Amino acid sequence: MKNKILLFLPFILILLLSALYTALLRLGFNLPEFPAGAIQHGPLMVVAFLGALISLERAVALQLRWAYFAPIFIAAGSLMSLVFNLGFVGLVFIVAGSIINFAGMIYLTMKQNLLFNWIMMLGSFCFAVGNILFASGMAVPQIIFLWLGYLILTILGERLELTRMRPISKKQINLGKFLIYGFFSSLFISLASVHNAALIFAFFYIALAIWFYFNDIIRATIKAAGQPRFTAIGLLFGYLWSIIAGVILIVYGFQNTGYVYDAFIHSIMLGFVFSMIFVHAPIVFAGVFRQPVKYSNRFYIHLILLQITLAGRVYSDLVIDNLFRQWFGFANVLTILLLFANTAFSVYQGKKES
Amino acid sequence: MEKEDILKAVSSVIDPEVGVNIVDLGLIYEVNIKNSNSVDIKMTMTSRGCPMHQYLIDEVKKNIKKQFSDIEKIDVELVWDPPWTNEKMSLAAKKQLGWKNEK
Repeated sequence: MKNKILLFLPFILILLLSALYTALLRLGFNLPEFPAGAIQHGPLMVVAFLGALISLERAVALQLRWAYFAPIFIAAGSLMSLVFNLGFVGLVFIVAGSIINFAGMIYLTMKQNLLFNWIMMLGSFCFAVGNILFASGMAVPQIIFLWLGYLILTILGERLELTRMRPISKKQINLGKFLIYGFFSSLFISLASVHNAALIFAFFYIALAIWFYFNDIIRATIKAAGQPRFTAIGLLFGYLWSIIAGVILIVYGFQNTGYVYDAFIHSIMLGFVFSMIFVHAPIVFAGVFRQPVKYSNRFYIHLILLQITLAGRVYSDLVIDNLFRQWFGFANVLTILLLFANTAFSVYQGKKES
Repeated sequence: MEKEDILKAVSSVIDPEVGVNIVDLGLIYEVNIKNSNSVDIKMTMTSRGCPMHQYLIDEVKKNIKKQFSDIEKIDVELVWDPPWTNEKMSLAAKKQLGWKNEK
């Protein structure tokens, strides 16, 4: 096979489909049981699907053979423990993979010693620590801030990299630095006192969303056309959902289960992280899998549907309407599947034209 | 075939995130035309952590080939020295990305 990276694609898709299937089980749909149990929905989404995808993205960028062991170990370990419930050995693979991923980020930061790489490295550190604690038996709500921190710091590091193309004052950069370090500290405070940490997390997360709203390159690209504008609109939604997640945390406090937990987690995971994934899918497919995607305005359908169905989900959570929550949650799952269908169709279109 | 002709062909390659061509972004460091059918290019990326490098290299080759079908050999080398800074962006790129009063 000429393009070996494509070998990762079926595994990453299996992990995503497992995460989506367990989402339906968690929403209360009466479906056949999942081998490792519906409880693995969160770990499947964060550790398995996103952990494998992001570490693969980094390995492709680094062009280092050993860096590929990160996505290989994370995907293999996730299949063993989080899908097929084969016990502890899979968790050891996941931990090993996330430590390799962290080592890759250290290497990257040493080669290009700039703030945005430091931020992504701190994110990968949170991921490794979170996975060690998860493997040692700590419950997901206890480490959720480390896992969320991993995703948020990774995305914000990437966004910060692009702000170098914008005229930003030193004062603004220093403010951004302060907010990032404050946010990072909240992730580790959560291990000692999750309720106090939640407020610090909320404050810095909201402040960061506002900082990025004013400084992100989307300030310019939103005025452009086509794909850059589409990306900017997705990011704009992402920052808005970040503020909503922070407000939920401040108003209701951190709850480790139930409707408010669902609203808070999915405002970040679907609102921020998946909005980012939705608009970057064409770039990831082209960059990582080397499958050029022909951009189409059709992509707005899944981006807007994600926002509408998530708004319905979060509203149903906050007014405790289980039936609506269930069906909006189901619509969230369909929207993610639609993203893949739309993207696959555009890859096919691109191939046909070239 | 002049260096400017090659740069013109390469400027059809657009960074999909920011919508600016990679020549104006300052990613192309060197273009060497060895003879009528061989070109060497040195280019960089803004970040070492970005996985887009191979895609952009493929696009550079594709766009040169499209304009100059008689070129048989196109070598694109990814270099990191000197590191990219926003000073390498053209005025047009800066203007497009919201810089004001730049000369």
